[in-house]
Amino acid sequence: MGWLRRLRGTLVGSTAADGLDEEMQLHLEARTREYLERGLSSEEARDLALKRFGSVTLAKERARDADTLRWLADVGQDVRDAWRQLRKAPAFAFVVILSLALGIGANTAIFSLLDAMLLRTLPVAAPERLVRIGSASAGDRSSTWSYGIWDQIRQHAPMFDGAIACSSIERFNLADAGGETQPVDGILVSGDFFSVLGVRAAAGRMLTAADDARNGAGTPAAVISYSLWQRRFGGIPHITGTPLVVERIPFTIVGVAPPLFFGVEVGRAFDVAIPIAAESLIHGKDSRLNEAGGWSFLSILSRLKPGQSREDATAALRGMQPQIRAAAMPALLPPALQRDFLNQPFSLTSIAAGMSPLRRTYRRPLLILSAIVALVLLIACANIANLLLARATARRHELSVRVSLGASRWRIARQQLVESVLLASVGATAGLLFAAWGSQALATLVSTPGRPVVLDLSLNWRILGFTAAVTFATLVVFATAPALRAMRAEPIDAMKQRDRDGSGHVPLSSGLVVAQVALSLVLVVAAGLFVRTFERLAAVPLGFDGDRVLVATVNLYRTGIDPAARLPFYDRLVERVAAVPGVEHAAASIVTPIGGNSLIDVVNLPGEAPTMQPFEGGRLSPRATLVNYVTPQWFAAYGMTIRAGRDLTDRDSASAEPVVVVNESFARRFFPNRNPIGATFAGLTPPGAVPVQKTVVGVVADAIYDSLRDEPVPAMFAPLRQAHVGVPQHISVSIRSAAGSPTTVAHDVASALTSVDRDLTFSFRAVSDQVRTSIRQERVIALLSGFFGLLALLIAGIGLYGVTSYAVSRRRGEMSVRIALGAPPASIIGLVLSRVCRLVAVGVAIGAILSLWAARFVSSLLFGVRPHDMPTLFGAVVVLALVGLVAAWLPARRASRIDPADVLREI
Amino acid sequence: MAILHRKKKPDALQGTLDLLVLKTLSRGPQHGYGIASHIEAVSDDVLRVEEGSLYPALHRMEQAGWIAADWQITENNRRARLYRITRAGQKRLDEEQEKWDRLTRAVGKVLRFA
Repeated sequence: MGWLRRLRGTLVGSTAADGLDEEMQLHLEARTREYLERGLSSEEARDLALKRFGSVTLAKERARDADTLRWLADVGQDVRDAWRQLRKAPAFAFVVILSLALGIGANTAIFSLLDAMLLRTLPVAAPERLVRIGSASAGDRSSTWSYGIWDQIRQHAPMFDGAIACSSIERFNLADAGGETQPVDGILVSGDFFSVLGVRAAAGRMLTAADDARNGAGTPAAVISYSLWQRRFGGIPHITGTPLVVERIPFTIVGVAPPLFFGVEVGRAFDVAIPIAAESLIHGKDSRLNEAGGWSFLSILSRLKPGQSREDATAALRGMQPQIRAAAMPALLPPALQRDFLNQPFSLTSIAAGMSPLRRTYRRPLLILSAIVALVLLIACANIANLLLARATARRHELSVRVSLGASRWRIARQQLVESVLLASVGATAGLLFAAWGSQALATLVSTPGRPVVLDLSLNWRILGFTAAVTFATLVVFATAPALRAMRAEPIDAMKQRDRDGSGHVPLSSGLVVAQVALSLVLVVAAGLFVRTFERLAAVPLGFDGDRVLVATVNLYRTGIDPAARLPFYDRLVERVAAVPGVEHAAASIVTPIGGNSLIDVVNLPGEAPTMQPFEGGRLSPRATLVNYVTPQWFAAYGMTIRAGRDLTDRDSASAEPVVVVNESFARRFFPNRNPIGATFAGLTPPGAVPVQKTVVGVVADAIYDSLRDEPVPAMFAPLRQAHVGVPQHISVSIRSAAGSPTTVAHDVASALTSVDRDLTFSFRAVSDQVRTSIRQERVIALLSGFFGLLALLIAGIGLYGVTSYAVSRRRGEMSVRIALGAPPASIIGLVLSRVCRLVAVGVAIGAILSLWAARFVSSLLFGVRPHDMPTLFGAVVVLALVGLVAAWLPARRASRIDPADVLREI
Repeated sequence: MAILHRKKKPDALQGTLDLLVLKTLSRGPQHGYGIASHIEAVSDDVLRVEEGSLYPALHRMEQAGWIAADWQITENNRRARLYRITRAGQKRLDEEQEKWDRLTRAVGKVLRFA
């Protein structure tokens, strides 16, 4: 265990040399005694003993050299020295550590999100064997399937190691009674969902195939998330058997999912999972399970057998395809589409990392953000390198003295490196803390009230490895130059009284400053583009006035009202709400603006060959139109103007002539150069049915339908009473308040709704919130890029200031001579500024070229501003020039006030 | 700040000192002063240990694990650091002794035939 003792000695800082002292002392005493015994005087004896012993110090020194772990002690000494050096320059240390913490932290935070969203595998057993069944031609966009298809694949499941199905995350209402909803995120899953994924219950049991039997006896089973168990039930131990009401249907909680299991959709997490079969209990006649039209709402996953390749499994599945497809043929499918349906080949895609619509939305923004934060870190590195260089130059004299005293160059460079490593480690540690907070804040920032983003952002080896790699790269970038400079210290420098040449320093620093300016310009341009995108989006004319509109989404699930009685019921509801004091207008509709849903129909004009295809290559075809079904007063509730013809009225009943109001884009598209009023057309018609001709009775101003980014598209508004799609079980009531915030009437509207039927369930949201929510992503990007742009400007400004100050201090002699010879202060200022201007000009030129090149990567995220927007570029150039001017002005003014007499005295 | 830190080359003399120390200790535990005195006494004062280098050597050998040391009270009631040879040290001694014997034999032959 010798090495352990050695290590201890090294760490504690005391080597065996301490005991050596006493031992050698004893030796000397013994020798002295011996000489005394031989009859020498005590003084002679002592002298002789010492002489014979030799140098005590040298002996100790040699004993210490014998420590094989000596280098460790030296490094420890270096760390202590570096710590002392940094303590002596707290402002320097603070700036460096803060910029490193921000830079490394921001990089780690963005990487954590990327990792959670794109890289992490699902928290299930053997995720690499999970595949998702899709349609070869549809890509991954629409790989959801009807219950019919799932039922067939389930029967063929033995060709895999199990097959499972689940819905995407939906909102479940957990309220026991009517009234305002208590929404949570829920999911419909097949019975063996958990067992095939290999997920074990944290309490109780998970669902089984028996739970998923249709027309099963007893109360259906539900599994809740760990988080809901804690939140709603306070984590009580005997949770199994507890009743849970989901959409008015009583369920029994049979178990709790493990804490980290969120499902298979990355970014979302379920709170309640119920069997797919239970869906028919909730929706009754409207159940997606009976839907003869083949409502696609299920994702189907299967687990490959060990050793089974994806190609083999695909071939096996395609072999079964004709039977599966034929058995699941939707009854209402037009014959023209039936062949397509039968022949669409199945495909399998690996989903080891889960599936996520979030991924599509945030992939590019996250990649761009990671580029931005990487640039910020690079700029910070340049700054730190400059600061360290200046310090190394300031310490030249000290280093030269040490070299002349025999210190090895490596030793001196090592000390410089140790200082850098210390700075980097402290910065990285602080950065990790900052990242833990930052990534969570980012996840919250991209969540919306109805769609919370839930990501597992806990630390893992990938994130730690990333941080370590970033820190190391940072270190290499900022520490190499100063360490090399320290190695170049020459003994002769110590002879000089003051270092006056500082050779080699200026070109390197100038290069770093130019790089800083260039990269900062790129970031400022990016920030400008994103901020302008957000401004443009926020300023998009909506075409309606939503500021005073509140939307109540009303649900009939619990009331048991017959489908035929729904329309009169909705009429009564709207009437009652409109009568609430403070409500100016109230109207019902199936879709609300920017509500996240759209209805689509086609326009078949008389004399044209009818089309039944609203889509063309994944986009709306030119023959398609958006649709909404509304009650009278709906346009008034949204403050939309009727441009021609008339509004919908109470007389447009189910038995009256079918009418529509169209928007201006519709009129322009389908009735160019003619009056649309009175024109007729037909929409999508079920096979065998006689097309219903609708008559245009009015034209309403264009308004945003679903997204602020959309160009004006044709849209038509038909009376809800004439809705041929059937009257749904839920409806949106838009309420315009007479004055002020619409939420003030929410309470009274709630009591009015409950007074019509106390089993109604409903939830409120303000349209203005909806608008804000829809541009949240752009807002987040604008905010972050703006923040980092400012940070980059600040850092570049500090860098310029530092380099200019240093240059001025070096040229004090020259400046004072100029002043003594009569140069006016203005010319001195000009002298300094011209140098800075050159640096900034070069940096800006490089930055501009970089920005123009990089702009192509962000173009898909922009709106209302071109990637090569000249005003933005020009603005950024001006801003950087101003920052450079301010940063250089202060040292320049100081230079102009040099008193030649002072300088003379110093020489 | 150990600026004057240089690597030392092991020299032949150092090896000799090791051998002498180990040999001395193989006869029983001994403190530093005792080791020096013993070597001098046995060699009839021919070999005089450079006392300044004895202690670094002892320290180094302790680090190498050839000898072990403890603070103890000696017979005349004084504190002393007693060194004793370890098993590794005994092995080392055997090796060194054999090397030394070979060397002296060789030198002896050379001297005889020269």
